[in-house]
Amino acid sequence: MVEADPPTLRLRGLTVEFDRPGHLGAGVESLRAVHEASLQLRKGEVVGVVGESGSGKSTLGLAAMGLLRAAARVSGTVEIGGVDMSAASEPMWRRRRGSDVGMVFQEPMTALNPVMAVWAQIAEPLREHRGMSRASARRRAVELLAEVGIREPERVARMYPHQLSGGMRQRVGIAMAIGCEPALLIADEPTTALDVSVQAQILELLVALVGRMGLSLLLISHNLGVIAETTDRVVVMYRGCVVESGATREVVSAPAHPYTRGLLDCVLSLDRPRDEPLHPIPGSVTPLAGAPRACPFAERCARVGDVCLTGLPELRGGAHACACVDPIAGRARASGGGRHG
Amino acid sequence: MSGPSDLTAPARGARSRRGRLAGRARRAGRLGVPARVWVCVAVIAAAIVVSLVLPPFLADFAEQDILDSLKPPVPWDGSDPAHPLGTDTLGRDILARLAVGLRVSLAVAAFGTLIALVVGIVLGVLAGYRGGWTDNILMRVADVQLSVPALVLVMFAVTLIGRDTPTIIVVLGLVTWVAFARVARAQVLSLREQDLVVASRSLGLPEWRILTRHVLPSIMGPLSVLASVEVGALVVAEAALGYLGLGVPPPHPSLGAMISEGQQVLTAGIWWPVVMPGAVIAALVLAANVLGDWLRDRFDPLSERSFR
Repeated sequence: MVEADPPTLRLRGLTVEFDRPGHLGAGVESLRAVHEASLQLRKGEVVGVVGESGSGKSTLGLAAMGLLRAAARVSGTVEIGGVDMSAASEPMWRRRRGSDVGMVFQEPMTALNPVMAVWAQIAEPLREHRGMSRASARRRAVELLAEVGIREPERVARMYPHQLSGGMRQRVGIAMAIGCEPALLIADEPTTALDVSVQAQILELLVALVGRMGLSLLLISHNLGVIAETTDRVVVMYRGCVVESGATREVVSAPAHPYTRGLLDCVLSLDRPRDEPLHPIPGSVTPLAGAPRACPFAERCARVGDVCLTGLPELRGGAHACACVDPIAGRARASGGGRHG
Repeated sequence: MSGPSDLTAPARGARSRRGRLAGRARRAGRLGVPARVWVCVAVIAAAIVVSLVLPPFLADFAEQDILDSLKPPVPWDGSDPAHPLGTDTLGRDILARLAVGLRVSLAVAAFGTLIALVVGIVLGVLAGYRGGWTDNILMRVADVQLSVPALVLVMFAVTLIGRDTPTIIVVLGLVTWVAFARVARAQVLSLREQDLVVASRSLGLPEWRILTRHVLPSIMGPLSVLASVEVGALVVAEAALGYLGLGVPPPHPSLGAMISEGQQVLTAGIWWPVVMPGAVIAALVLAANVLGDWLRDRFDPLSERSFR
């Protein structure tokens, strides 16, 4: 045994392609949502995936759960707890989902069943994976509600989703996901649909659960503020490609990729002077139609040069890696994102 | 106890909610159900009671008495109180025949719809959830069936298999499953990609459990609307079979057969043998359709009268 403790999640060269019918039924267009993404989570680690809408971060999360196998073409390897799941059958995936890997969704109202009492929904995976009886699953559901910080768990267990506040619903969603004590939790924008004050509570809860249960957390968010607050390491994605990865502290304080810098410049803060202009990244994310032949960010980059269009830059740099031929050097964080090179 | 703000907030909410409900109740009667819907429910309930309870207390539906033939219904001249709705050409009591005929009619409508609903849901949900070739095969079968007029198909099957009530029920049920399958499939197609289903899959729940516990309850609204309309359609279909002489064999009465028999004397101004069963069919179909209409309004989230 080379490794005593295999990573809870390891993605290697993960590529996800969706087929969609072309215009007027002319052939099939294939869109690449994730291109050759690799990342690794160790026990007790919190890793963030950040990027704009359409950057492929949610697709990455779903692919890591094996939930895209029918809808898309997935290649590369997904290893969960050291077991390669790339060739696993659906029943094998099903046994691991909910039991070894849990997922928390963005919109807790639509992820919960409106016509089922809270306890019954939390009890479902317990009965399925742990073979618990109805009564003991119910007892465990109440315990779980208490564990995710819900007061009066007995009473809340009998309620229905529409009777709960957004924050409470998300706590219920988390209770469902951690019921079978998975080693890995994937949270896809878990706070995006919530009030700011509730967001902080939910993030606090997730981080507390990582400490208490020793699980690994893959936190997917478009919000660099959320990522900076909670994660140990971060992976920045753009158009399905990992453009930068490293320790969160380093990436945030000294972004090397112009895209990461652009995202940081978009983070608002209360102490920013009101007359100082914002610096949004011009343009929007367009999906890749196949394997990228140039830097995916080239069309929106302020630092773009001819070399950027000649090929896809490799992710280089070890612990703090960046896929840019001309990375931003130094710790200086001038606003504006103009030409530095 | 919690603070004062916690105590007053829900009370205010409750009062305004009660006010809103009272307003709706005034407009629409108790429980927010308008009077026309109660009338429909009453019509259908009356039909069930008449067909199930009344026959033992009425004249024998097959008893012929030529001397008593073509008696008009009660308030008209020459009527006989023993035959409140009059008699037909063979002197048989129309009320008794209506009551017994209704049994077949209602049984066909209720159980036929049930069969269509079950078959349609199973196949439609399967097609929508699985997609791919399962979907392709099932929906092409549905298309083929739809391309043949339903009545022709039913006439063919009934002639081939037999004319007893269970056969008619099964045949009509199997001919109407397509509508349910299509609605179920469309609902599942849109639900399949939604958070609830993805979340259930992320918990590792088995497929049948996701379908029965999480998908089925969400698609029952539109399907129940369709079912209530289909009840009316099957009442008509059964009557059509009876009219064409393909319904339950005589002397057992069928609403359709009663109309076709009564038709012979209609030109002589003898209206009751046709109008009585005709009115019953019309009332049932109207009731089923109005009920379906109301259900559709209630299940439509964009409607002012919706449940939400």
